[in-house]
Amino acid sequence: MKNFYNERLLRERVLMLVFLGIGVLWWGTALVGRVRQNLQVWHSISQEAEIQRLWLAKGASVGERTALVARQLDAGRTMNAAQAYAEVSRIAQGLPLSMGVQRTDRTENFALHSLQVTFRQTDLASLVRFYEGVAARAPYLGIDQCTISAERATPGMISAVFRIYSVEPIKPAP
Amino acid sequence: MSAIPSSAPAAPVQVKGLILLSAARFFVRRVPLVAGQDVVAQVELSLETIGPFTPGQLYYGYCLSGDGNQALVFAAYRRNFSAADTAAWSTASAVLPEFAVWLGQATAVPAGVWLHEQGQTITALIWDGVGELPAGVLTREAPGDSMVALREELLREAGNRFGVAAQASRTFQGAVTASALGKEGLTLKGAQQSTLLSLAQMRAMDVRDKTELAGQLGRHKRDRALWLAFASAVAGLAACLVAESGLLVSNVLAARQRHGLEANAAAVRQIEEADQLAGRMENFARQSLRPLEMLVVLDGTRPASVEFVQASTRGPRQMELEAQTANAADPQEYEKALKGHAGVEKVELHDLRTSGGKTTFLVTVTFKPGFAGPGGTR
Repeated sequence: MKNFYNERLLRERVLMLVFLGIGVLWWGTALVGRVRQNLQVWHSISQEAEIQRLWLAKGASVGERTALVARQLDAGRTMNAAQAYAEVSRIAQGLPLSMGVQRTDRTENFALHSLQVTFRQTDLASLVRFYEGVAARAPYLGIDQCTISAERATPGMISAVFRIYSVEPIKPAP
Repeated sequence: MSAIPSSAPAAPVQVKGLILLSAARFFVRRVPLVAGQDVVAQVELSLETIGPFTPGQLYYGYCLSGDGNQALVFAAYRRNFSAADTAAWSTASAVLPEFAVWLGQATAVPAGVWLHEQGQTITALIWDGVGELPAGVLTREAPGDSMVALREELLREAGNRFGVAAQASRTFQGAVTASALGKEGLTLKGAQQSTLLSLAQMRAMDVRDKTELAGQLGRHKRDRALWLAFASAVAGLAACLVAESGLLVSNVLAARQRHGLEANAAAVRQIEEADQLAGRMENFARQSLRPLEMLVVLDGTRPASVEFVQASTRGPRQMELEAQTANAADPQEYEKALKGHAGVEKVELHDLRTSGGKTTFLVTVTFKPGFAGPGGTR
């Protein structure tokens, strides 16, 4: 190749060098970007794999932990989604409330249901009554989140949004 | 001290880009040099002094002694070389006289005469025992088969002109060849003699026109730079090709790995969710959220001008309160009062804004464990 190159005219050699140089520069630049991207992909895969490995290794202990939590529950006081809905309705009887869609998160051993309850233009005393009613059923029924706002249009009245949870044990499949 | 051709000189020998010219074409002188002065200028001055021609009419070169106090100068009249003779010079690595193989001796050579016989040509190198350069070089070509007579004539002439013993101290036979030209220099091989000439020595001995030689050196450098750049570009291209292939393989492996991760994702998500739920359940069992008790604390320390707008829980022991007041100094007062409360761990006042005479602000309060008493957040 050296002889082939050196036997060309100077102009041809310069042109060959320029074209080849442009090609290498073009390709190399694009390649560097893609190599960097590939390295990031591998970095992310390796991190994700490590996280998965840790979680999978922790799987047995998490199973034991949820089983322990489930064992500690008093089956007579737990509530499924429908029971929780009915219980909240009963506690809030007479109050202007609306209840949102229920959501359920499950493990192999228990389920955690949550329900959003909204009170509009209610007085503090009614709200305290509801609050005490829920608190009496803790930890099987309880408040997960709470927002209380003053009603500017009607002084002395308040609005409140509660996220109420209830817990239900799940019997393992026979 | 001259090599006087007795007949037509032999054709130049070309080996590995090197052209070796017959010694018969050159007249040779050993000249003294002044140390520290420009060597080339001294050599050209000596040429003007010892010969009838100007340096511009000569092809010449020189070999320096080790101490730099002497030089063996050799020159040939340009008109003795036809255009056909010099046609190949422009592409040659070097154009040297054949006797260059005997120059560049590492140590001083004892007085004597070395004879180099090649075909019908005999070259005599006369050493006078002073330094590593010969005192003279004589070359003769034998007509017919009279080698013995020619040898005796040369020895006799050496004895007469240089005062050395009229007998050969060493005799070599065979052609001179170049064995290698590399970064370290040029290796020349005679019959039983091998000499390594450094690149600097080789350039000094090169007899070509000095201006053309400088131009040729420049062209060589340019060509070499171009070739190196081209070779680097080709290497870069090859590296790109290898990297591209590697990238292709890497992408396939990454996709396979990603597929494996996706296969495990559902199981991992399930474990994560179970862990979070277990944590939440443990929290619910350990502590109940007490938003109204938090509000009682916030209300008890409130300056009269502060009105609550909204309060939201941010965790089992934290509440964010949005409030407003007509007195711009009261938020700071309220912050101080909250910090002084026994059940409060931390207070952060932020997002203060004043509009239409009302100052609104946010205060995030973190309560101490057990602030609400038994059954509350412990």
